[in-house]
Amino acid sequence: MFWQQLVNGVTMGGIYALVTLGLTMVYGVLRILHISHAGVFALGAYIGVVALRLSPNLVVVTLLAMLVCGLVGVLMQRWLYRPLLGSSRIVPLIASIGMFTLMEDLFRLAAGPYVLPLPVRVPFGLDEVTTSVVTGNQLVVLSSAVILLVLAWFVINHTRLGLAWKATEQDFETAAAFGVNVDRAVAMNFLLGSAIAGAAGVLVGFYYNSVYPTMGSVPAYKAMAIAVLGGLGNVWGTVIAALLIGIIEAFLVISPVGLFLPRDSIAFVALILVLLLRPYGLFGRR
Amino acid sequence: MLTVESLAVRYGDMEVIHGASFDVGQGDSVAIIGANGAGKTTLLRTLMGLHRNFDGRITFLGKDIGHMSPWERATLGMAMVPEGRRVFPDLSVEQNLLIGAYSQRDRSTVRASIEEVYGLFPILRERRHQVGKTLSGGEQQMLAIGRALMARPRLLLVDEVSTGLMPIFVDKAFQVLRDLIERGVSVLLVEQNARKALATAARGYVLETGRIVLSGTADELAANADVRKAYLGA
Ligand SMILES: Nc1ncnc2c1ncn2[C@@H]1O[C@H](COP(=O)(O)OP(=O)(O)OP(=O)(O)O)[C@@H](O)[C@H]1O
Ligand SMILES: [Mg+2]
Repeated sequence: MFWQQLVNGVTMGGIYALVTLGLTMVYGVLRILHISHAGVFALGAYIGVVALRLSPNLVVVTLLAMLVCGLVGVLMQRWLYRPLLGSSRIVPLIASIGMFTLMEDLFRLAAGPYVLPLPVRVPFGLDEVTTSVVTGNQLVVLSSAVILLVLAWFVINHTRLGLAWKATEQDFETAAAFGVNVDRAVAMNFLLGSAIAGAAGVLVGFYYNSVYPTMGSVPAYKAMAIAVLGGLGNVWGTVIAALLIGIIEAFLVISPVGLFLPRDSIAFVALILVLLLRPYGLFGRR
Repeated sequence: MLTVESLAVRYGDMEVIHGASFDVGQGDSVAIIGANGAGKTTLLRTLMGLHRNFDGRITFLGKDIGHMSPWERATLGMAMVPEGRRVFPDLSVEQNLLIGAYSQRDRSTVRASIEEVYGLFPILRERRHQVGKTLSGGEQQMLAIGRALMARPRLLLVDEVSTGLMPIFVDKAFQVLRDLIERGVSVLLVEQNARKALATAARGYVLETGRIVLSGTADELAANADVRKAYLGA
């Protein structure tokens, strides 16, 4: 029971980490709360449903969702956020919320208000593996999450692009003066963050075998809470915060407290506590 | 190499540089001296592409660069030691240097440049894993100079190279610039420290509240009665 719940928690935590990663990356370079990131997450799941017609293979479906979502992320940066650069910070926030609502309605218009299945086929029959602790589907989600997080870690810490992001985030003028194409660096940041959110959409759609227009709503605010917990802009703080929330949720639902405290409220209880006690995030510095 | 014609720079509607014209030749070294608020920093930022509210022509290596982004100018061979150091606070010393070499693709050149900078400022080697904001002001200034050297620029723009340095490092900083000039790099330095600037550069201009009021060889300027009175305290 304990190990099962731990695995449940880590699986959800992995998904939260994937969704929140893009949010915190965007906040890092642009200082924008990118709410419509959750729309990109849901878009990923819908692209997955469409991609099924091309191939039922999870890898193919995920890569397609990542590609489309990455491009949509770049378009949002170009057409939604860039024109608003230099206005007060509330303006891009409102635009982002508007965009998110628009996306949810577009999903409803295009695919109807139904719950669609996402029956992808998993390579190597990984989803057939069952042990007493971890199900095959969990193995699929966990291994995908690990691969994507390692990819993000590598790009952030071991490439010129990652260095360019950090420099841009800390002082974009000086970065530009030394040859960093700041415009492109920001676009690439949206590309990677959105692609990973799209992959998370496919994984969630697969895990629950359901895709629906508002599937981004809960992630929208939960990811926001996790990003703040992790210290906005702090990538590794975010991953740890996401795992913590996933695990706490998993144990809460089997404890007596779970009877009166709904699972989706945990992130907010934690958020309120952190804002009161450590407003710069669990791992942030002042 | 660099030609500036009738450059007027504004903040909003307020013009702070009023039609400045000057040039920096290949291998040339030019000092622009001026008091606080004369417009020196504004001028350099405009040349680098960081300030875009201007009229006039800026030509670099025969190209009109007025519309170019800062990174395009960097790729053409401009680098700067900015006012206030602008060291990346959360990057290590070594990462700061790597950003300096961002438009440099060849890894072995970059390695060699790093070694060169460490040779010039051994303290930076000792501090190479420390993040920028934990360096002392003087160390940050050395890092800002080293970072600009990493770019292997054809034209180096230097804003008050000596701020925050102890006298011995002031000499060192100017010595680094002289070595650079000797190697054929063009240098444009703006300074309040007219004495050092005129001892380093071959030519100079005097900028007074946004207007170039005097120009000449460094020796001529250093001998000029007005310059001596206003900037050399003599
Ligand atoms: N961001 C800004 N907005 C409005 N005015 C500005 C701005 N920056 C500088 N100025 C004005 O432009 C003029 C020139 O400033 P600048 O910083 O270029 O002078 P400086 O010669 O570098 O001075 P210092 O020797 O003190 O560094 C000053 O009158 C200053 O008040
Ligand atoms: Mg200045």
